[in-house]
Amino acid sequence: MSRILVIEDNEDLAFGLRNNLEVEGHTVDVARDGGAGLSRAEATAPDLVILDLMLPQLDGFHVLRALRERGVATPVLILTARGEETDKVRGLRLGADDYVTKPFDYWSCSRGSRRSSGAPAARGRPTTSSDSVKSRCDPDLAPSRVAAGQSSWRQRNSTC
Amino acid sequence: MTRPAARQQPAGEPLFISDDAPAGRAERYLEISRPFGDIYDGILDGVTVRASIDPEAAMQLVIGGLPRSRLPVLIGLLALTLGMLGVAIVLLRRERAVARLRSDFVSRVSHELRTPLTQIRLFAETLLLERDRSSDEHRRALEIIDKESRRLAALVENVLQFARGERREIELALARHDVGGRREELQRIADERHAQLVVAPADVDADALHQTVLNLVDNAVKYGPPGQTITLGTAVEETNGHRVTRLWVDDEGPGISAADRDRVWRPFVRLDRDRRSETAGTGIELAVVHELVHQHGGHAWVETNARGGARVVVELPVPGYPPAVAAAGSAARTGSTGAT
Repeated sequence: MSRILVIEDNEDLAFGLRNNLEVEGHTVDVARDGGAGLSRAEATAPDLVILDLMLPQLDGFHVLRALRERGVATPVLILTARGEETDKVRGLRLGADDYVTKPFDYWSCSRGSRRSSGAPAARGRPTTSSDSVKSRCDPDLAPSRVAAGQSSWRQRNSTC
Repeated sequence: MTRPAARQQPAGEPLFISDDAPAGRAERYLEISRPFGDIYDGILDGVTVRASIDPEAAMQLVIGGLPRSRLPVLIGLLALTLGMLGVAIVLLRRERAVARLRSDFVSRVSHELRTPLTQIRLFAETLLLERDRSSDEHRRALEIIDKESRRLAALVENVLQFARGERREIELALARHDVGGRREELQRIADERHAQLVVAPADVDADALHQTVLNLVDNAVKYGPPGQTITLGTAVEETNGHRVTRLWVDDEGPGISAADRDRVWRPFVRLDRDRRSETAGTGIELAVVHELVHQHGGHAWVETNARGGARVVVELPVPGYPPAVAAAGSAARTGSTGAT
């Protein structure tokens, strides 16, 4: 599976993302501030960067701009509480591949990460008693939503 | 409809030709020499205008303006109009500034709500989908949900309290309250930023003080560096026969400049340095503190502490005594439970 770098200063949220991504079989690295995230993105060349915008030291926009200016073409998924249209436009213009606003559900984020990184849909997910939740949220299990064109990240964010 | 061009009077040709004056009258009747039809496409054909002028009253005629005697009135009216225009512009600007602040406030509250909601949702899903890989992860997910829901409740309570304050609907239930009694909640806030919190137990005089303390500590945690020591101190003081409970919160942040020390209490206001930073905040926390303290008949102010950080001081009258009005420097300390 993919190597994913999560640049997120919120320790709990980073823990939750790491946990879920690792369950899907990804290798996850976490950076707690913009400077560390930028360094690690250059040094480790991950398959995907999940980037928060409000970061200490160097905010997410600066990290993204620096990555693109340095020729790093790694797909970037912005995951942020900043939901204003101006922020979305700015992020996408700077070279982000997707923009997901908080609060998000994990399956939306996972779907966005697969799309951004070009990775195939996660396989071997544990079958649980909560498949009804999955089927509500996962486009792989609810193809009608995809057919209806509701999964465009640039048009619809954050919720399924 | 096309408006006809103004007719030019040939040079030397009189516009008016005098008519015969009535017998016994000094005035002369004047008659327009040409019909209006030439100018207005015949609409006024045949119309004749007559005017008479009494030569004795001719000097009082005002043609093209008012007499100089009314100039002061005109100037006064002009000044009044300009003054009202100026006031209108100021009010309009102020209104726009308030509207902008309120808009920013809504945006900030929205952002503040999103953060705990995100985590509640993420970890609830994690548990629902049984993606926790150990009992430790299961417990941590539950703890995060619990913590974030409390944070959400505190934020909502702040917004409601602020709205009540705006409507002057705050009702106080005065009672003895021990700050240390809710230390666990304060500690939780401090833990989020790896801050060390030392709380000195003290008697305070109102339930609402808990929210005050919570906001002050939360404020100190937000605007100080990670790992800082936050000091919460209390003292009972007496001055001029007034006994007051003084409570202060010290942080190790950059402090608040003298110019900003009044501004921080105003609603929606965030200091420029905070606006540029990535520190979250709604801009009403300290306004809520100010309103609550004011409702108690107390005072709140900001100082610089010995470590160069901010010291936010709240002074409340002790029940049974008149409200204190003394300045901080003139108080005579009779008991102190401050700690760092």
